[in-house]
Amino acid sequence: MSKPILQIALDVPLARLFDYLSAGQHVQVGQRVLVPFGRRNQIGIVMALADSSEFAIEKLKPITQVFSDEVPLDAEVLSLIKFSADYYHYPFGQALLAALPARLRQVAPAVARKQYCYQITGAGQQVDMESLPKRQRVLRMVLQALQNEGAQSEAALDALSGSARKAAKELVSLGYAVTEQVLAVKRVPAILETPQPALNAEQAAAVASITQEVQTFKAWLLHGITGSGKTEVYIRLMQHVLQQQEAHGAAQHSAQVLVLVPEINLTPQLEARFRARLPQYHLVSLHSSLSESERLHNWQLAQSGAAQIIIGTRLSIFTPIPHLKLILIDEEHDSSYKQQDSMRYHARDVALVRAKRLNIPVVMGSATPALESWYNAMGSQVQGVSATPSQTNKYGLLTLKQRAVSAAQLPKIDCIDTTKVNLQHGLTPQLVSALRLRLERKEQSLLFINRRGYSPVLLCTACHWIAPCTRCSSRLVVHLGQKKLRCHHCGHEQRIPHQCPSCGDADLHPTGHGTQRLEQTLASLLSTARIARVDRDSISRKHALVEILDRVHNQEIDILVGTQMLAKGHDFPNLTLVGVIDTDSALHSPDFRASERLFAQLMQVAGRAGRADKAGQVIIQTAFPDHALFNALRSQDYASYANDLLLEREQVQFPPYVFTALLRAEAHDFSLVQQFLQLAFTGARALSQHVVTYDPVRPQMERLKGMERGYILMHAHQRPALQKLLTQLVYQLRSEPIAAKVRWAVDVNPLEF
Amino acid sequence: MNKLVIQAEVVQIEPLRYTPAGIPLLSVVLRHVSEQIEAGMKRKVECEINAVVLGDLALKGLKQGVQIIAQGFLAKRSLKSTQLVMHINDMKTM
Repeated sequence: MSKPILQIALDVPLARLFDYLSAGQHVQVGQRVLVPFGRRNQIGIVMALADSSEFAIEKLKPITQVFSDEVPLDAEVLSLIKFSADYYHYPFGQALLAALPARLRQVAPAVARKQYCYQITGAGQQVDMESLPKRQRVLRMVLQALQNEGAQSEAALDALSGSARKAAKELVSLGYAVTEQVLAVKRVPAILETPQPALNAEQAAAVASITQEVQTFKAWLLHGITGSGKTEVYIRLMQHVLQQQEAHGAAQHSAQVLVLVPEINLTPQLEARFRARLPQYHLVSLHSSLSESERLHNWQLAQSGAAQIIIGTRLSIFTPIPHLKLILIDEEHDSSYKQQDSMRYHARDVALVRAKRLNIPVVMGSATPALESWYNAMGSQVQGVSATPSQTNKYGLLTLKQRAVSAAQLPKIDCIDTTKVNLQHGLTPQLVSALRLRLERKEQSLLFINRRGYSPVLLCTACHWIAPCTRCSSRLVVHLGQKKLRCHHCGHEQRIPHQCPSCGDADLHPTGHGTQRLEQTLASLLSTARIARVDRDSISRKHALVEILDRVHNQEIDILVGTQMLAKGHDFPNLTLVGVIDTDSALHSPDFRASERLFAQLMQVAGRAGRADKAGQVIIQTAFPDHALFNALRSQDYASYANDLLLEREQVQFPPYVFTALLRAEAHDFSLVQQFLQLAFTGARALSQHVVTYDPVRPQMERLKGMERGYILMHAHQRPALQKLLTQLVYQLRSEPIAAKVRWAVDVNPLEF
Repeated sequence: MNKLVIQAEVVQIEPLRYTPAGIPLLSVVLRHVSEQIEAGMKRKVECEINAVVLGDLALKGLKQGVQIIAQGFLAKRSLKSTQLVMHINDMKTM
């Protein structure tokens, strides 16, 4: 008799496991089970089998069902999620279930696209072909195939005859064959590999360095300027890892590689490139725009080891990948790797932990690495005020300084002072004439404006009323086409008022520029131009983005207007001009990471210009053309700018020089938030002298979705000291009655505060 | 009390535009010429007045050069402006 008590993780906001009785059913750790919880059944994951429980055994309930057909979650993933839940101070059960595809959280057994395989039975093996009627040609054919060639998949049967599946089912009913459900494995099409482009010296050196140490854990920072061919390095590394494993012989499982990408929008391109170059390997993608059954199917392919290349967004870091041998993180600096609600993990950091535990390399690529990564790669080379000698470079740094297409030059960057020229609807004459020139030359342009909608503000000039969001401390954005005002923070939407609610004036003015207004302005200034707009509104339809991008590639678009969506990854050979409109708000943002982010973003957009043989130009409209950020941008010198920023951070003791955490709280009633934070503040101060705890404050966005918000910032020079404090603090707070009245969460290594 | 009645010639008309909520709006310049009595003495008066017409009235096909009698009220152009704009509520073509 196996151990009768099961410790089960459930999707409930409590940091503990729940004991149930196995009731004689055979259950393994990692298996999905259905258990009674409260008045209904819930899905849980078995975490441990035990002989005893702290509760009386007669009080325990038996589990309802075991999903014994499913492969249990492996210990590696369970412990990774356990580690993350501890580190980010989030209930383990919730973290674990959130990491599963939605279908696996549902009560119904999770079945991906069902596929069957037919196997001959003993009786079938004995059957004399002549005993079957001659006219049942297909039936005889199928039986013969089963007898002579063994198991037949549905696809194989379809190839045999159109009615072969029906015949196979008849054989099953006759007892001559049995079915077995298998995972649908896509047949790898036998297409020819695209020829390998030659690596330049830097790329070759990068590949060589990593492949030398491919058997052990090492974090590599691949710092390559835009267009320097980082993707090609990824491809070579994947080839190396996947081939090497093959060479070890058939006894071993084939290796698997996980590729993390920041955005869903980037997966199709990367996927297409990987498929073209590595057609012999089975590739799946994991992101939220897949249908639930697709997602489950791909997840199971990863779990079974059938998929060798897994491309996914941040959540895929928790996918069970039994033979994981390499993790690649593209655009590692991207903020979308950080989950902003529930368990606030950073996929890059979790990837580093996972790679270390598996003793495999992790390669992080970026043109503008996150300052944390840069700091880890540079180590003591950053000449700080008090450069600690203990700080050695944790990451291997590989630099690509040349563009991969040797004729491609880095674009020329000009800043136009908007205070010195007359703007035409927000555009400088220089930018307009540069656009005209591109039209004449039949080249393409990209205008980058990080604000969707028509205009960011609806202003009454008579009394200076500005349309506010009723639920957030934000302003409503004018969407003129839809005649709507929208809050970009909470999604609140309302009709544009006929008159100012404050003074009654009807002549309200949309003020400032958004993508829609820019598109309209361009259409009136350059009537022959073919313009396309790319923002979240224009690509809400599935495949809309792909269609627009295709039109750009087919030279059916002259000017692209878009938000940061266009900044990353896209490669348009005929695009030679990039215009940047209105970035000044980010230049003076109170957020300490704003300049780092703006620099990264501008480097990215600038990198869209002149990727092939034509020279590119970048025009930035700003009221502060002499800002240090623009100087660094003009010389395309990430390294010196990053080092300057690091110095600044060191002087003010901000990350990466300290470890930070936030305790965020929100409630409809701000006095509850105050009480809670005050309690937490006093508690935290009392708990540790090694952690600096700041007084409760309100974030810039004081109100969001109708909730009044506040937070406490904590920082420490030692990560363990902060972790220890958080563990104790969270434990204390969970038992406080006030904690039940506010929504609160710990955010470890927050992106902004 | 804020009421202005004036006879004037429409000397300038901006293209018809619409407020974000879709209300038609016409900005015009009126030129007024008349003789008035002031302190018992007759004098000439000439002035140009910026005016706006909102709503259905803006769609009545107002033409440059016509004489109208306009009735409305005065308001500042904007919060920090000292310029006045006449808001026309009613008008008759002469």
